[in-house]
Amino acid sequence: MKKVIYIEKSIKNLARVKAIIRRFRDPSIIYINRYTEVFNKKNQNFPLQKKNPAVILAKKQGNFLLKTPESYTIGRKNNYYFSYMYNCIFDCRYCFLQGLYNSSNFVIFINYEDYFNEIGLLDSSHIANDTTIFSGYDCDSLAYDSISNFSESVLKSFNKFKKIELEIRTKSTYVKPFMRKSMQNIILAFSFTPERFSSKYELGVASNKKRVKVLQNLINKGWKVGIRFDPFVIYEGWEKDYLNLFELIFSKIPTEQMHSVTYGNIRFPKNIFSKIKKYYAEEKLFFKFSKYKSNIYDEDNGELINNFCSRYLINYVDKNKIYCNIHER
Amino acid sequence: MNKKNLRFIIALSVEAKSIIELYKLKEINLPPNIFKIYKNIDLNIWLIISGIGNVNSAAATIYLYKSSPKNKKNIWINVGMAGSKNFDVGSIFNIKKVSYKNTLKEESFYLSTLVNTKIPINEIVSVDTPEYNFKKKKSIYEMEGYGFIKTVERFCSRELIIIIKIISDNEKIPPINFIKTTKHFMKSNIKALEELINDYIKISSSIKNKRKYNINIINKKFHITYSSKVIIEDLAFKFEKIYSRKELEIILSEAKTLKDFIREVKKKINSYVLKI
Repeated sequence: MKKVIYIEKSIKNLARVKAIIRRFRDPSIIYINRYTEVFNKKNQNFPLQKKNPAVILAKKQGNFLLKTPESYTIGRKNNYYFSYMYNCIFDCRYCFLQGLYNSSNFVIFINYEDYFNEIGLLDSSHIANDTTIFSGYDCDSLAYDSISNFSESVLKSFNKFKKIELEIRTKSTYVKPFMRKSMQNIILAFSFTPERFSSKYELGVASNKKRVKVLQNLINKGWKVGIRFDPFVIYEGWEKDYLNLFELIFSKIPTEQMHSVTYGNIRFPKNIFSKIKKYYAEEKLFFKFSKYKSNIYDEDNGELINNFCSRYLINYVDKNKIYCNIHER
Repeated sequence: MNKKNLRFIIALSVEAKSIIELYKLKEINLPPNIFKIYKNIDLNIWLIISGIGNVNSAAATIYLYKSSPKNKKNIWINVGMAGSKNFDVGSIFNIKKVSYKNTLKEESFYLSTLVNTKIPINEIVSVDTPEYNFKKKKSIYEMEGYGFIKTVERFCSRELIIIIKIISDNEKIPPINFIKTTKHFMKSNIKALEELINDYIKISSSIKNKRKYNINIINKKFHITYSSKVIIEDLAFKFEKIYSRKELEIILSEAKTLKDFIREVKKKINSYVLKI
C-alpha cells in the first residue's frame, strides 16, 4: 500500500517536513489547513485505519507540556509529559490510544524546538531539580524515530539541560541515535509483558529476547534504564512467565544503571473503555473489567499484582526504585 | 467472497448504466418515487439517480439511507464524470479530498486513505455551476461530491465512503457528445471500479455488527425488566464466549430467582482466568 501524507499548508516548505517526506517511497501528499480536519473527525474506525495509517505532519500550537496524573512518579515530585506524536506503529490490544482518539493515523508535530523551549524554561526554574518529563504517553517515543528523527533533537537539547530529567519510554528496538556517549539526565525506559502475552496482544513488537539485547547494548554505552511492567497482566500461567521475565531482564542490568521499575494494572477511564469494548466486543481480555469509584475500569486485580511485585521485584531491584501505579478501588 | 453491501449515488442514468448492468440491478417502484432507485434481487446493492448538483446528491443520499436496509458494513459510493484542466479524458480517480467554496463558506472533507492503490488518488473541487475555466491546474471539478460527502459522513464510517470521478472533458476536449463518451468511459473503467470496490468490501467484512444475544430462554423463566435486559445480555454473551450455552442453561435451570442467576453467572465470569 502507498503511504499518504497529510501536510498542514503552513509548514509544507520546512526542511524537517521535506526530510520526513523523503523517507517514504513515492508518497501521495494531501495538503490540509489543520490536522484536526482529518484527525478529530467522528465516524472513523480506529482498528480499520491501523491496517494502513496515513501520516499527518502538523504544527503543535500550544500545550507543549502537560501535568501527569498526580500520583504518577519515578522518584521526583513534579512530573510532566509531552507528546510530539499521536499514535503508534504497534498494535497493542489493551492500548488506551484506541479509545482516546477517533483516528489511528500518525500525527507528528514537527516543531520539536517549541517543546524544548518550554522544557528549557522549566529547567531554569526552581523546581527543575525535582522534575521529570515523560515522553511516550500518546505514542511510542522511538518506534517512529527512523522517520521523525525526534531523538536527535532530544539529545541535542538535553545536552544543554542540567537539572531536569527525561524518561523516554518505548517498546521499540530502534535505538540507533543512543549508541553514543550516555547522558545522565535521560532514562531509557522499556515496557515488557511476558513473551506469551506479548506475541498475542502486542502486534508488531519485537520479541523480549531482542529487546533485552538492545537494552544490554544501551547499558554498555552507560545509559540509565527503566523497566516498565505497566500494564502488568494476569492470565493462566502469569506467575511463572513473570518470574522468567524478571530473570531475563534483571540479570542484564547492573544496579547502578537501573533507574526505576514501575508496574500497574490495565486500567481505562470510562469513555475510553466504552470505545475499546465496542471495537473488541469478543475480546476476553476485557470481560472482567468493572467500574470503580473514580470512573475507572479495571479488573480488580491490583492487590494480586501488588503482592506479587512487592514479593519478587525486591529480589532484583532496590526497594526505593520500585514504583506502583495501582490505585485502591 | 464477502457479501457486498453497496449504496451508489449517481447523478445521471447514463453514468449509472454500466453499474446497473454489472450488479444486475432492477428499478423499483418505491412511492413517492422522488428519485429513481434500483436494487438487486438480494437487496444488498442499491443505486439512486440523484440528478445534477450538490443539493440533489445530498437529498438522494439521505433518501437512499432512509429507503434501504441499514447495516454498519454498507459501503457508500458516489461515481460520476468530472472536468479538469490537464488530466486525460477517460482517466479515473479515487478521490481523497473534497473542497467546496461559495460566497459564504469554504469547507474541506477528507476520505479515508486506507485504500489507495489500483486507482490513482486525487482531490476534487465541488462546484454549484459547471466549471469551464479550470482555474486550478491539478484539480478535478465536479458537482455532486460535496453534497454526498457532507451527508454520508453523518451515518457511515469514513473508511467505507468512496468517491470515484472519471474525466469527461478538459481544456482541450470540451464535453461534446456527453452521453456517448460517458457510456464509453464508464464501461472502460467498470472493471477497475469493481476491483476497487472489492477492496473496500474486504475492509467492511472486518467490521462487526453490534453483538446481539438472544435471552429468550432466560426471559421464559424470569421476568426481565428493560434495565436488567442490558446487563443480562452482556453477561450471557461473555459467559457463552468463555464457557458454553449448555452450561448457561444448567445455571438457569438451577436458579430460583433472577438475582440468583445473575449472581452465579457473574461469579463464574469473575473466576475465569484469561487463557493464551
